Amino acid sequence: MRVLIVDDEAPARALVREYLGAHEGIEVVGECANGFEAVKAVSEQKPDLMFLDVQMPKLTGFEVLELLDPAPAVVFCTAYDEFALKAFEVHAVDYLLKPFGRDRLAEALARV
Amino acid sequence: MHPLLTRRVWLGPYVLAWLLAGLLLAEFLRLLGPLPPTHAHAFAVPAMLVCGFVVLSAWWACRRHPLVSTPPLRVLSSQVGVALQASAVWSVGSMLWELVLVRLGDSVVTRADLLRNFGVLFLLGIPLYLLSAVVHYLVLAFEAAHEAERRVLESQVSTREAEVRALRAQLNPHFLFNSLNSINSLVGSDPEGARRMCEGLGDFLRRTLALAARDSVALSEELALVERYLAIEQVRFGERLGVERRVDESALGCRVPPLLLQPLVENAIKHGVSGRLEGGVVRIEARREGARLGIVVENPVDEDAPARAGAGVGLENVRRRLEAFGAEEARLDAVREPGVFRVLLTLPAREKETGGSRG
Repeated sequence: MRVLIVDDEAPARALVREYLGAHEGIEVVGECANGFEAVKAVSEQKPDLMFLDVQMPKLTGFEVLELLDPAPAVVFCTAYDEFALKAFEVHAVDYLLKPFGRDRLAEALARV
Repeated sequence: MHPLLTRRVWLGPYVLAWLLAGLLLAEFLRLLGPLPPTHAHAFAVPAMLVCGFVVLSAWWACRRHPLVSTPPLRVLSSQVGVALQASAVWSVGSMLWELVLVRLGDSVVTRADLLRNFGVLFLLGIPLYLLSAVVHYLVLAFEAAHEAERRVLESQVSTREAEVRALRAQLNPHFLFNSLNSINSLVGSDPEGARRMCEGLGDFLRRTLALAARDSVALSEELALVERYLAIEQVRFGERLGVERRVDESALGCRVPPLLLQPLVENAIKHGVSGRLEGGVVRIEARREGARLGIVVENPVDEDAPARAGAGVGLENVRRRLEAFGAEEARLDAVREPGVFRVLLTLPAREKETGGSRG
C-alpha cells in the first residue's frame, strides 16, 4: 500500500512514519508539510492512503480533500475531536486523536 | 429592640419633641374648656410623653404586617385595629393619671372636663398612632433598600473574584494534547529529547499553577514561564518558529499580573507561526522607561489572513486583567500593520509586591 503523510508538524510526520515502519507492505511515498504540497503529491504519486492532519496553515485537511478528485482513502490525525462528525461526512476511514499509540494506528490500517 | 432605644442619640430629641407636644396639648385642652393651667400642664405633658412611647409599638406591628407581603386591606385593618387599642389603653391610662392629679391637687375639674379630655385623647391617639405607623413603614423600607443594595454589591464583588480566578486559570487544553503528541513522536527517534520535554511540560504546568495563585509576579518570572512554553512549542514547529527577545535589565524586577505574557505568546504563535506556511518569528520586547514599563509581543501575519474572533476575546481578557492591575496607568493596544500584528502593553513600573506605585 502506498501511503502519503500530511502534517504541518515534523515530529507528527516522523511519528506516523515510525509507526508505519512496523507494517509490511506499506510504502511511504511522501511527506507533506501543508495542503498545497499534499495536493501536488497526490496527483503525482497517486497514493492509496493518506494520513491527514486537520489544522494546517492556509488549507485545512478538509479543504485539501475538496480539492482532490479522486481522493485516496483518508485517516485523519488531529488533536481536536470536534471534527469527527465532519470526518464521517467525507467518508474518512478513521479519525486518530493525538497523541495516539502504535496499536491505535494499526487499528486504522486494518480498516482500509 | 426598637432602634430608637438602641441608638440613644435620637432619644433626647424625641423626648423633647413629645414634651413640647404635651405643652401644645395642654393649651388645646384649655381652649376647649376652663382648665387650671397648672393642672393642664401636669396632665398633658406626661400624657404626651407616654404617648410618645406607646406609638413606638407601631414598630412591632409594622414588622408583623410588612407592606410588601401583606394585602393592603389587611395592613389597613390591622393597623387601625392596633391604633384603636393603643389609643384606648393610652387614653384610659391618662385619665387615671388625671384622676390622681385631681385627688392630689386642689384644682376644680368637673366631670364634663374629664370626659371631654378622655374623648380628645382617644381621638388624638388614633391619628398619632397611624402617623407613627407610616413613619415606621418608611424607616423599614429604607432599611430594606439599604440591605438589598449591600447584597447586590456583595454579589458583584464575588462575581468579580470568580472571574479573576477563571481568567487566571486559563490553560489551553489543546496545548496539552499537542505537547503530548510531540513527546510521543520523540519517544521513538529521540528518547532523551522526549524525556526532556516531559520534564519541560511538567515544569511549565507547575509554574503556571504557582504564578496563577499570586496577585503579582516579577517580569523575570513571567518571562521564565514564556521560555518554558517556547521550548515546548519549538519541538512542534521546529524551524518554523523563530523567537527574538529584547529585554531591559531594569525591567526584570517590575511587577506584572501573572500569566500576562503567556497567552499573548500563545496567540502570536497561533497566528504568526502555525497559521503560516513558512512559519514566522515572534518578537518579545520589554522596555523600562522611568516609571513606565512597556512590553511588546509581535508576530507576522499574512496579508490575506482575516482578523479572527478568537483573538479578540483573548486580548480582552488580558486587557481587563491589566487594567485591574494598574488602573488608569495600564493599557493594552493591539496594532495591525502590513504583515505584522503587535500587542503593546503599558503599565506602571512597580518593584514592590505590595501595590505601591513607586517604581
